[in-house]
Amino acid sequence: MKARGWVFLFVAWPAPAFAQEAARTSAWFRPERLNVLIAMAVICGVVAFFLWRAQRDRHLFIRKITGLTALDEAIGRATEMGRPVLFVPGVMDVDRVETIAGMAILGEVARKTAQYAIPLEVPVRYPLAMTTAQEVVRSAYASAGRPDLFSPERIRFVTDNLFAFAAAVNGIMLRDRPAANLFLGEFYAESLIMAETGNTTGAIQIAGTAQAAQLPFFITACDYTLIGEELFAASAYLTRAPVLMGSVKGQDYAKVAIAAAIVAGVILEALGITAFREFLTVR
Amino acid sequence: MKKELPIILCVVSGWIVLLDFFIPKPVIGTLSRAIVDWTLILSAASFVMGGMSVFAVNLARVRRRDSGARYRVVVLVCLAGMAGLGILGGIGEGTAYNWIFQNVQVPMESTMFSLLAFFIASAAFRAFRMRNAQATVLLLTAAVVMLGNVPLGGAIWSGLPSLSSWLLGHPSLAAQRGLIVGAAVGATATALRLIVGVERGYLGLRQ
Repeated sequence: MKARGWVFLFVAWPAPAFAQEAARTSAWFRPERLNVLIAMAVICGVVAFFLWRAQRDRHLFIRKITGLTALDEAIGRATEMGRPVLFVPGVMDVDRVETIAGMAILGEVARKTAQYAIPLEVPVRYPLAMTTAQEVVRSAYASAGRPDLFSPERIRFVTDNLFAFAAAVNGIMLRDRPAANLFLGEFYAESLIMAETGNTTGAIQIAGTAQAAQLPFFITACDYTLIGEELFAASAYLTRAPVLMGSVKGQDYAKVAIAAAIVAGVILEALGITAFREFLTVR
Repeated sequence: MKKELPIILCVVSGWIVLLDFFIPKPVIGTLSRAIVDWTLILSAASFVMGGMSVFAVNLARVRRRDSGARYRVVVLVCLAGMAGLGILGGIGEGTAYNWIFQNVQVPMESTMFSLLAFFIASAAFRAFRMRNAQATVLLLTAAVVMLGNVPLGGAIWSGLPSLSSWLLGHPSLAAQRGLIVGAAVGATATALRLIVGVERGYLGLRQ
């Protein structure tokens, strides 16, 4: 019976547009998005399973991420030189998931700079990102037992204009000469302008973004680069919180499922069966 | 409650917007649109706070005569001047505000963007040095792609443009798509952690 149901699903896909529109107002589900729901259920199911498993097995293995290990080296160097650390949590607002990932790393960096009493400069491009970053850094300084060192002036909104922001960050790098520049978040065309300027100042540079077009620039100009998903795994890697480690493990298995779907798709397309591709097309 | 409320708001908002993608019920759609509208309103309103922050931070540093105080004076004068021009004379075509924007701000932006060409040249010089076998492969590939995209490449060997297209359209694109798939799964897992309330680092809370 179940098999017949699946056959019907493939044969009937996609439903005519007028039928979908008529059903939309009374239905409890958009049938044209069933494929997205299934993909989400698979990915979220795997991640949720490992979230649950992480609470039982607290020794999940995650490979070494060099860029994150190097954070200690960068902060240590800044301490030895007595110079500030510059942290740019991307150039987008807090409604972007890469900015959220950057903020999670900022908290861990701020905790360390508070412990070693080094200034932490955080220029941001949006006011909401500024308030978020201020709260993250304030909490980190408080948890490190150094709330007296927190200075909200150092976490500041500069401008929402992209190239003016890049110019301001370059100015900070050239005037204040930070010992470590950390670019972790969402970056666009300004990535190389900032990273190359930082390179000329001799600062140790760690970058991370999920923007594929910007990664070559960061890899060329920075000492360490977090590539794509490594940025999202950073909060788990740095905190070693079992529940977050579990989600990273889940990510890996979700990728295995996607790779299997790609292989299946290639084989089916080679055999002239297009139903699988049509089913996966997002409408 | 100061710690719990942002998490509750994030979890509830996240679920409503997600459900709206799948469930075509007007009540969920209305709630979802309201949340998105509120995000836009908050974001727009926050620029007032941002402007005040820029003013306060720079004024404090000028008063303390910190390093670079003269640049901060320029920022303050420009900030106040442009705000005054915009409020008193408007920002439309033919106004002083618009003239300054078009003749100062826009050329300066273009200047910053054009610097990218020089930064690319210096970064490429470092990247393409033949330090080891991998760097040599990178150099040769880059040479093929660059030559394949200019008429000289076709004149040297007619197969260069198609080899260049193949390199960009197959190995390079495959690697980029691999990165994009990995990043998308990472973003989905992060979003899941947010809407179930286990990711708290962005609020400054430890796990």
